[in-house]
Amino acid sequence: MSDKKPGDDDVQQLLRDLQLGNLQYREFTAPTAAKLRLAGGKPQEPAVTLPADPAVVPAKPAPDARLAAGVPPLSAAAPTPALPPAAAPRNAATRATALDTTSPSVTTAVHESPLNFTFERLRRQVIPARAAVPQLNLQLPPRQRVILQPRLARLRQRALAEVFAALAQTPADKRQSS
Amino acid sequence: MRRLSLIVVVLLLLVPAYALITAPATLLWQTYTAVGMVIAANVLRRLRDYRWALAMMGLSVIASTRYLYWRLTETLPLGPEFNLWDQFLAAGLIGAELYAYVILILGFIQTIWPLHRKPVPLPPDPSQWPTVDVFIPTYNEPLKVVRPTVLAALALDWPRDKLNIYVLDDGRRDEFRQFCETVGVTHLIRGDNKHAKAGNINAALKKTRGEFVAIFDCDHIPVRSFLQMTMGTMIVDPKVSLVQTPHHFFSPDPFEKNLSTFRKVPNEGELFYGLIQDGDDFWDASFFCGSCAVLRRTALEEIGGIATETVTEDAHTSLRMHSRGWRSAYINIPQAAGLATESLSAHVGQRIRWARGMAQIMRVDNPFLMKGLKFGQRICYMNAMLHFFYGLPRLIFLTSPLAYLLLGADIIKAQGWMVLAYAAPHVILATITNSRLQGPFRHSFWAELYETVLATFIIVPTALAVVNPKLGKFNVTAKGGIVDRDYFDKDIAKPYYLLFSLNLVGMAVGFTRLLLNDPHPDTVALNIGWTLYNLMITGGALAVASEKRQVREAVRVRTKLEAAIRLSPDDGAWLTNTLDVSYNGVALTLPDGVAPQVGQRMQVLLTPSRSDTWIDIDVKRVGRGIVAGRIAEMTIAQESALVQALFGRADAWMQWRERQDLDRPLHALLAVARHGLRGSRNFFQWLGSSLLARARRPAGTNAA
Repeated sequence: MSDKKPGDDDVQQLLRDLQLGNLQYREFTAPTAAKLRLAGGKPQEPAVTLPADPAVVPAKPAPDARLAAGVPPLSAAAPTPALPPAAAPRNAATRATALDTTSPSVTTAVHESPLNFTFERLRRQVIPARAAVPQLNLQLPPRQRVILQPRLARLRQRALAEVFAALAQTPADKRQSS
Repeated sequence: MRRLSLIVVVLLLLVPAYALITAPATLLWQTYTAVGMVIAANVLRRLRDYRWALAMMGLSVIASTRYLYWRLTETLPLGPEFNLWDQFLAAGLIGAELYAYVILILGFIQTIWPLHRKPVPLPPDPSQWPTVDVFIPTYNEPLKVVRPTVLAALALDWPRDKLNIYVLDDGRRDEFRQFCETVGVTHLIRGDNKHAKAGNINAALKKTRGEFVAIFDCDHIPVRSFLQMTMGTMIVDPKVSLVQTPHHFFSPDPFEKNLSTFRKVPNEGELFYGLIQDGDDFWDASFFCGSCAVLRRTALEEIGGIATETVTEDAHTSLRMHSRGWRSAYINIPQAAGLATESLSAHVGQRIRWARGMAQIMRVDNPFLMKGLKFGQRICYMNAMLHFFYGLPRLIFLTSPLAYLLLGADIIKAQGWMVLAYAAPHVILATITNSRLQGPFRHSFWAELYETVLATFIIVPTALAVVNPKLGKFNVTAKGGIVDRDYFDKDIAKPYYLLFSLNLVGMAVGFTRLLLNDPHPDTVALNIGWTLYNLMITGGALAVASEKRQVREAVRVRTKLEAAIRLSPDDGAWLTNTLDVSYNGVALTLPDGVAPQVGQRMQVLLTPSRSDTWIDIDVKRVGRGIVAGRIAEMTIAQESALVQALFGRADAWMQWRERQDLDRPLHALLAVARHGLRGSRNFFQWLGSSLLARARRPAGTNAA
């Protein structure tokens, strides 16, 4: 996780390719590439021509095209914007629900919530650590059981009175004796 | 469960933090603590994972709290040996320090996790997209400022039958009406100018019907992708009331112009639009800034339209929408650009309005008391409002060492070295942490400069607004003007040279006391260092008041666009690229084989892959591989082509932030010091020439 800023590169890619993931950019005014006659004499089409979305046909001529054609203005001082029936305001909630087919998260953060900076995060870090436990080959000598025979034999040879006397010692006596 | 575990972790951390904050220490141990904290902060600063920035915030809060705990428990001048004067001055300083502490903590909370929201896809079928009304309110701005905005709005990529553009002209001007009729947008007027911009928008809301309203100040030119970048968020979440985008400026503000820092040092507004709004967005508290935003009509109608009670109607409107449960969003991608204020006096006037407006909101609809807000929203709004009360604390910081040096007042009951050992980690850690968090958007020590320039001017308006929120009126910020010569704005600089002179005298007295074997040389030295810092900051303010000439009416934007030139419509064309472009002129790389003459008329085609509209220019300069010319009178179609190529490209402002230098605190300190020195020199030059002129003036003139 880094605190890199919003992914301007991503947005630039979107604008360059008109598509990024599920983001689709649409142009409603088709760019009109110039047909240049270069000074060398041969005509040249510009290298880059970005076509407008064929599915999108402007309902009215583009403003600059209309202006160039000398078409009268849309409206004057009397403010009566003509909205077609399709554009009439509807209930925002129902419309948004109907349109919500992509269902992306509204609050998508580049980095995660600080509220995750708790046990859940630690747990997730621990799981992969367990899955790939490092294998250490220490090459230790074989383990052997070691029995102190002389001490065991001596203990077995004790008289019963001696055994009881040992049991009768209090913890305080033991500490003092040691 | 997650919240509970977070609370438990915080409570567990509070125990050692409390011990660290309250543990008494000798000078030696406090020095060790200070050095340890500074080293730790420097180590943490180098770790790129953002979680370490959270740890830095925690460490900075501990250092600052430890300092304030010590100040409040051990250094207040209480007792019979201190007089009332000492205690009055000490109260001022501790008040200023408490204010700075509160702002620091609120700022950390506000920007703890910048959201970096991405645009949301729109429905695949454009026929399902909603209708949008674009409002461009204007009052007294000249038509030349408004024209590009209108033409760019016409080029927005949105279905034509769902986009309506309105120029809301409170000036009721005929030339505006004619222009609107020519280009095909609606010119809306009303009978009065009640409630200024807010009233203008509210009047337009009653006459229009679009489901959403996009608002642009008349000098904010949108790029063509604005609606597609913002509207997806609106459509996918019906509770989102507004989507705000940054205010980007393609011309230098007075700081950038007069200090020559344009595009090298982040300007005053970048912290807000680069970081704070993104931080607010995490808390669902990003707010409307008056322009470059889309609002949902139903949300606006629910709160009765744009708020009219205060002069910052934008923030007030979003506060009301948040209190009704509406959400907001911030998309941190520049989708419009505008002109910054040209002169310092205009800039100060604009900031006074903001400060007064925020203080008014605090009185009218206090976010801590208002119903319906969430905790994070209360914090974010409160910080936005409290921020504008920095005037008095800043003034206190700029004069506090003088209390000791000039008046002999003991305002801190402690030895100089002890003050340094406690204050240094507090100041250094706050600086390093803010540098880590704000680096790309605000360089270290520049906040002091920005605040010092405005401090004395906002004290009275904010205080008056708190006393009576109805005082004052809306003032429109002047844009698009020129500064015809270099000059020192002595009127606006009065507070700066007063503060500068006082600190200069204080420093001189301090050195004199040192030479005369003052019994407390460490305290005197500490205060001398403080005055030196104040001299640097006030010197920087004086440098900002030295207005630089700006003769071009149209700002030149350095941009490399593909272009073609030809000497006449019948000639062949040469492909080239632009070096800079403005609304009045263009400079291009001169291709080999073409030799235009000065005074000759030629034609330029900008972005030939997207446009076939040639623009006429009169050649003004040829040489060194460059041809530059003035754009001849344009038809509307030509003007539209220029606007779309220069301002309306979707990626027009994308790279601007990346070109700025990164923050390095010591370098930033040196840069501010250099500006301080230059400002001091300008001040002394102006003072010398003024005194000389007065001395040469005949005696009778003075009497008159």
